[in-house]
Amino acid sequence: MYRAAWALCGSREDAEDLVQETLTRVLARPRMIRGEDRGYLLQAMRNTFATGLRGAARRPRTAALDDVGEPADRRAPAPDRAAEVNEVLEAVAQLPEDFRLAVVAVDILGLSYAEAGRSLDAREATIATRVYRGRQRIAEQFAQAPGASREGSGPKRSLT
Amino acid sequence: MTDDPMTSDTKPPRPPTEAELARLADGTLPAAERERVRAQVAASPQLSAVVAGQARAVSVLRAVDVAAPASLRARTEQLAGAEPRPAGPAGRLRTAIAPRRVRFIPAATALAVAVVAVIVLTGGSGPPTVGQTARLALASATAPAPAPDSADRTLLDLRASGIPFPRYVRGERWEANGTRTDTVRGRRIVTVFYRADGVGRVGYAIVAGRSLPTPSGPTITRNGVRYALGRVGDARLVTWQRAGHTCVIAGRGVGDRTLLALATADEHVTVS
Repeated sequence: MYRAAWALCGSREDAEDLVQETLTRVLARPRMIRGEDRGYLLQAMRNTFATGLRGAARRPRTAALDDVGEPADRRAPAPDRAAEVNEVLEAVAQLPEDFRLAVVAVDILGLSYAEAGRSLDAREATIATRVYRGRQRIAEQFAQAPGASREGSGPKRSLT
Repeated sequence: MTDDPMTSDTKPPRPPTEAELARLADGTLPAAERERVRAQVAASPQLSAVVAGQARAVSVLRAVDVAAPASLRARTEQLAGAEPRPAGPAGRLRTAIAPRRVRFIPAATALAVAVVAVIVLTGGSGPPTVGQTARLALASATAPAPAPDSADRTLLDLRASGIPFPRYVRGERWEANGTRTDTVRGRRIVTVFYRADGVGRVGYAIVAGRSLPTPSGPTITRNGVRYALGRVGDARLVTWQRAGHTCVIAGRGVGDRTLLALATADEHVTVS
């Protein structure tokens, strides 16, 4: 859920708030959950994101905690891996909303296309098309380009 | 008139759809269509490149493995009462947790579980700067939000150096949604985070001990209190002194006017 929230928001801090806010809303309203609960949580997260966190979350982030270290978290990935995760999730967060939600549902949360369709109120084929287009943009961003570097001027970045 | 058998035999299959290519790349295309699409892809360098790109994206996206930080787990476990959810039978039919279990976390509990982060700064001496304090106000919460003060609905049940944190009940609704406590250069800094729907997120930090030097920049004086405005990275901040301590509110995408309104909202409240 945290991973999905991060991909939706593009920032760790907003993702944490989104998870907390989503759970607050889910726990505040008793209801029966039938079937896939990840899909239900995605739906709740999408609604929470749409009503409150979208504006703040989509702003560009450039500031860094340059001289104040964050307390160590034993669960945190190694720095190289963390940078990679950050790049991928930021790339997802830059996708147009429909593509982003579809990619988050299928490739980040691991829902089937049918489950994603139910959660996002769209036909299965529509979800697959959105996933396709989202992935195309991700693939272009992380395309293997000889001589390309992350600091390079081109839009392509090498990750794999 | 008879059908021309050559015409029906040479009719090309429809090209694969984007949906089919997506599903071919992640292996979920039904077997009935798989061979046809696979053959079409194999025959077209362009489609092969597209599917290779899809597969690359799938591998990048599905390799993302990041666990929720311990601080977030603490916040959410408290939110859910830290009780195991009832296990459902096969077919999954269960009742979500009833609303009575959603409650404000008493400030004492919040403080007890707060991660007191001792931050080691390399080099330098003296007190933390307003900029460093602002960066904490832009960081993640590590503990749940404090409860409202039972005696004063405009305050939260949390004080730092005797200064209560406000609960913004008038005007724009800024809900407290987390806290963190840090020690920087020997100074305890308590931060409460607030969020307003559609507006953004700010952190309100109070630094224990003597007031910090105010950064240069524009200032506004209201009711005898001087509020200094500034920036840290892409965020804006406002800082002022209260009862001899430094207060900082910082946020991204939040204007100076809003920051000032937040800073002055509780100026009537007595500091004990």
